[in-house]
Amino acid sequence: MEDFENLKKLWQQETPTPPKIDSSALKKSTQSHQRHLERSQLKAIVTLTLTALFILWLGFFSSIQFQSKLTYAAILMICLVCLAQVLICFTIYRRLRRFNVAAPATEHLQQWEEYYRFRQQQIKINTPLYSLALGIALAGYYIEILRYFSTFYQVLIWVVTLAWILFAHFVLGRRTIQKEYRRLEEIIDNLKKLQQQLH
Amino acid sequence: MSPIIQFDAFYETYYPKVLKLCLGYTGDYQQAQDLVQETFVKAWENLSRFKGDSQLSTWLYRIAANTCLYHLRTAKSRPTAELTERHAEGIADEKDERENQISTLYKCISQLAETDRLIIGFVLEDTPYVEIAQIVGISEGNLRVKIHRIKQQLSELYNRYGRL
Repeated sequence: MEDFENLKKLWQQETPTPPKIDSSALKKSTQSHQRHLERSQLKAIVTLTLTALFILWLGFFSSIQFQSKLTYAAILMICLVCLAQVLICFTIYRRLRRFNVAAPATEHLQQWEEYYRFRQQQIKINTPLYSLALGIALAGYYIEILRYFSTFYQVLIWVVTLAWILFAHFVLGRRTIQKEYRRLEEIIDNLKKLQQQLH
Repeated sequence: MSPIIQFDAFYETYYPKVLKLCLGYTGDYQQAQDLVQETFVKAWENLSRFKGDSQLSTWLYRIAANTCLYHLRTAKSRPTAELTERHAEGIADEKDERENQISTLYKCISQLAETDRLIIGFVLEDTPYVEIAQIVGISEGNLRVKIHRIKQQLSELYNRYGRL
């Protein structure tokens, strides 16, 4: 293996000098390197929190006075649904942040596989429950609000809302989930291929 | 000593080794620099979690290895092999003989299987086999067999270029 020893000498001859480190740039870079999966959870956390706060203000702190207790209950339910979702997104975010990047390759793959299983299970339960609870809460809210509209508009609003919930659940939601699954599957498949090379 | 100063020293000590490792993996200087930066960003983020149950170098190399392997997902869409070849050829025109040899070596390493590139990077850096086995997560016996095969493959590849 004399050839290889020569190659080693050649490799070790060159010592690249490190460019000057800038700690503040490193911090900025840390933020910019937030992975896509984390960012989408963060976005959901912020949007849902703001939505919950706005609905809460609208129901309990604005000048609007609702007649029915059911409307207040519905408003509270919308807020709770949003906040529950925030909690779930936060759990996912924390789980992503806790990934051990310094784990050996096998363990690294295992982490992704576990995360994929966790997301599959969580999406299976969480997504339909979320749409259903939000739908029920909105229906409760509409009972009083729509009283002030003509029958035509009442039907129109019900149809549009229902159509939106179904579209969001079956089209938009599924598309986003599929995208996330594809991304995760690709990561896992590639890591598996590399694992096979190792054994 | 402040964590920033400690990190600066850590960075200066390990930058060349990590860069070489990534260079061996990608064969492309630009990409290697990106991977090094990503490795150190991850190290910076996770430094507080380092418990000292392995050597600091092992810990950092694991991050570098995982970053390089993870890089494969995004690298798929880029025609790196062709670029690497052109890059190496371009460099070859400009640099002296020794640098040409180094460029050829990087080029040969980048033609190995992905995991083999990482393993040989560690071997060339004289990283102990126990440490390499820990980093890539395979047994030492398996690693020795692999290293023997990779060394032969690399030497053959390099000789094909008539450099040695």
